[in-house]
Amino acid sequence: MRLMPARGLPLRTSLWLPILAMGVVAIALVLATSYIYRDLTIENRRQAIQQLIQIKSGELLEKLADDSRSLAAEIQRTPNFRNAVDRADQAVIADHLDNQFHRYFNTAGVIQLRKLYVFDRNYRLLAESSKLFEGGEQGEACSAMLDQARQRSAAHHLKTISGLCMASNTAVFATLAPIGSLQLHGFIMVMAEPSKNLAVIGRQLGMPVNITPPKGAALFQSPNWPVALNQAEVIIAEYQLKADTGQVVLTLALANDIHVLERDLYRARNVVLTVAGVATALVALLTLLGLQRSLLNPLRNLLQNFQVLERDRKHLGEQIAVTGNREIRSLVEAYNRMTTELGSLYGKLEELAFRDSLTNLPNRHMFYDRLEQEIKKSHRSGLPMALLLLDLDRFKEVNDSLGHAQGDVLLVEAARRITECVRESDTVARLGGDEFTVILSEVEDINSVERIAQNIIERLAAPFQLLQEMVHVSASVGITLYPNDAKDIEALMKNADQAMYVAKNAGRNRFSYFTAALQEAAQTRLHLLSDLRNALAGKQLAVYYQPIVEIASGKIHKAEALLRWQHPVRGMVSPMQFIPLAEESGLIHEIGDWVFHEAARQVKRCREMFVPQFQISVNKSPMQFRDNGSDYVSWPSHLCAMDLPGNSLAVEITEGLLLNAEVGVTEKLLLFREAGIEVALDDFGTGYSSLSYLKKFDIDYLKIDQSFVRNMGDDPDDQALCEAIIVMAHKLGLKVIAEGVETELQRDLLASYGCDYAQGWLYSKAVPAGEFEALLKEQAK
Amino acid sequence: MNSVLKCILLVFLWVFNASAHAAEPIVPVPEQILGTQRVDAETVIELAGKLKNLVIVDSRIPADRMIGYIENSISLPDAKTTCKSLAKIIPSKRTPVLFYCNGVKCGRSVVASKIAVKCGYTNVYWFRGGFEEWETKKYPYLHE
Repeated sequence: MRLMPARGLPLRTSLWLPILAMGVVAIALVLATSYIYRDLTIENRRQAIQQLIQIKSGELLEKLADDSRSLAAEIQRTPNFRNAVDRADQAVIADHLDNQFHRYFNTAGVIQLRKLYVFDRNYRLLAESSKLFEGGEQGEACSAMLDQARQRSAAHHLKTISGLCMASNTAVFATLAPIGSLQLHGFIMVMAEPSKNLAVIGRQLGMPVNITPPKGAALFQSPNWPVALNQAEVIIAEYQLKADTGQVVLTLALANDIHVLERDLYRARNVVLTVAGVATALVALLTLLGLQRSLLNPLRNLLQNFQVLERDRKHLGEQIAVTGNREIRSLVEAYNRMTTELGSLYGKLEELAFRDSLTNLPNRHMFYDRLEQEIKKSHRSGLPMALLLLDLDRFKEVNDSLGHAQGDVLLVEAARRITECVRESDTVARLGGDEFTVILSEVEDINSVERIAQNIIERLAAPFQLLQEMVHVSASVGITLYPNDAKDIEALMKNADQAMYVAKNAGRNRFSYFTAALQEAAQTRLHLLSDLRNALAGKQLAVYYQPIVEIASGKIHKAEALLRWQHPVRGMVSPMQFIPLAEESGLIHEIGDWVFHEAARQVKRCREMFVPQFQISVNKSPMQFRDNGSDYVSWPSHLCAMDLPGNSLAVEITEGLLLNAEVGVTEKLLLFREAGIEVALDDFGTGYSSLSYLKKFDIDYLKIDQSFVRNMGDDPDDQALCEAIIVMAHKLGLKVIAEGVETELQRDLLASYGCDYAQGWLYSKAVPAGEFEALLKEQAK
Repeated sequence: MNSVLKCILLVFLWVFNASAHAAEPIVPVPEQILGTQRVDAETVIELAGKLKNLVIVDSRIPADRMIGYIENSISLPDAKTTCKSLAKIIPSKRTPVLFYCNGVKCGRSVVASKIAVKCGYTNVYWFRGGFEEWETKKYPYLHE
């Protein structure tokens, strides 16, 4: 199922986008605010500077007042001065006043002295300094101040007053101090030029200064006072210094570069912006991190689970961990509940859809599904698959007579029995009614198919204990093979159906292969097997003996016992046909033992009658070595019982036995050896020969396979092989018997190689006991 | 036992502290002194103008006087004020004499005034506000 790409903005974007937007808004606000407040800030700055001018100029004038007062005190200190004032001696006073201009206060620039006046007690001018004002003005005393002073009462005349005033259109700072500190003798007025003192403000505040009178040129201007052109980029703060009368005496201006201010402003703004930006980023990050955990991850997790579910319904029922915000938790919990419910529903649905509710076997739907899968599997592995279709004979009758309830019990039990007959990898299904199917997957041995079918039939033939009754039914089974019989489901089913009907028509309680040939073969085998069971009892088996000739002497001192079956109808049945059957069915033990007994009996006769050291070898298949849990007397003890030495018998085994050396097998073999029974390795060279076996198992004879012997005449390789085998065997202390010797050439060659014994049609084929004894008798002559 | 020792220590310190003030008499400054006329700074100036023979006595210790003093005042610390020392600077018992010291927190002029009255001076003025008042009111003064 294709998943459509989800539409809409990702959640994360929806989260940080608004935060970013808020940040942008904040920054925009900061910018706007700083812009709006620029003018306001400039105005504030101007006002602040104005206030500063006010304060500082006040301080500076205070200082000037103090200095003026100190000057006045200095002037009075001269002892004659007061006398002169009392005497009103103008000349002396004036002279004294003039001297002040050369003294410290003025020369050091503490006060820019302009004029000194002396008044008498009644404020009448007594004398003044002679230095002229700039511009040649004579100057005048601050009359306003004088008026003010005059109006004071009594003791207050002793107080000093100072202030700015305009004298002859010049700005001056005047100080009126009393002469005498307890008793009034007069007054001194010190008039100073204030601009230089005030100009200090520029240095104090680090700004250019401009001091102008109401009319006229500036009294002082800092060198870096902005030129007229620059006025737009400069904040000019002005403050008017007034006399007590309210008259403006001086205007004090300071200039502040706007750029400096702006720089400060922008620096502050940038700091705020940076902080705002960083704060926004941090908040966004933290928010995202927080929401990542509590919102995004759980949601993504949930989504993933949905996607997994879409791909594979088997994951229904799997729970998700509950994390995150409350709403998310609720969502996840709801999901968990839902998936659990759906999971169980799904399971039930599956069951209902695919299981037969009665027997719990796969139902028709599931069966077809499985069949398809098994076909694919078989195709891939190359191993055939068998399909068995069976139905219960006479089930309808049971149902009708005993009721459906009991019929159901029967079906359940039948299902169980059938299931027990097959492997876990096989499938048993109920198609409906009394019809069952079995899929045998990856069949390695085709014979096993009919074994299983037979097994099923037998098991179903056994009685069924129903609720109250005991009933018998039987099964008819149709068998078909993939890919042998058909290549698709339909054909297979049709084949199986047909085969089943064949079985039914043939009398029920049996199986039938689809192909006639298979069926035939199966039938034959079946018959043969049942005949074989009777063969022993029916004396149809006989032991023949083939002489093993000592090449050198040509004497017969050994023989191999070979089993023959004279079937009353079929005639001689080849051992290759019935030995495997015997092994499969386990008859081999009984038969093998019988052969042994016969051989033992025969060898006793031979030994007594012809050759004392006669030996007969008997074939023993690997199956016979397996512990069959029966009560067959062991061979060595039987020999003992017959008073025969161990080496009167030899056992012929194939290489394969040694290769698959099960523990029990090797133990038995060693037991034989201990008892003296000799061991010959049959068909040597045709299987997986490991020479270490020869050592390990203490073999006595090697029997060269007839395939080497037969071509010895033509093929130098075979000659070489035979020779090699003989040499090697001799070196190891083994004797060699060559099988299938048919020509004298072969015999001669073998003789030249030193081969010990020979067996084959050159000498004699396998003959019954009677003929064999005749041979021996002939030899004895 | 501990608290008693503390008490004694405190008292001792207080007395010591008090004596460290070089025998400044712990006398609360009264409103009026019997036998004297209490005056303020303006009155002092007025009297100085009116009474040519006014004797102004500065009752402070020299250290205080160095900060500043009223013109024409004579330094006579109260500790040294006796009838004899007074007689040295005041011509007669009827001569107007003015006592001042630092101010309302200073009791020296009180002491001196009282002594003057006891010595028989009849025209005693007492400038209660003292130099502090003079300074606050921004009247001129001299200093060495």
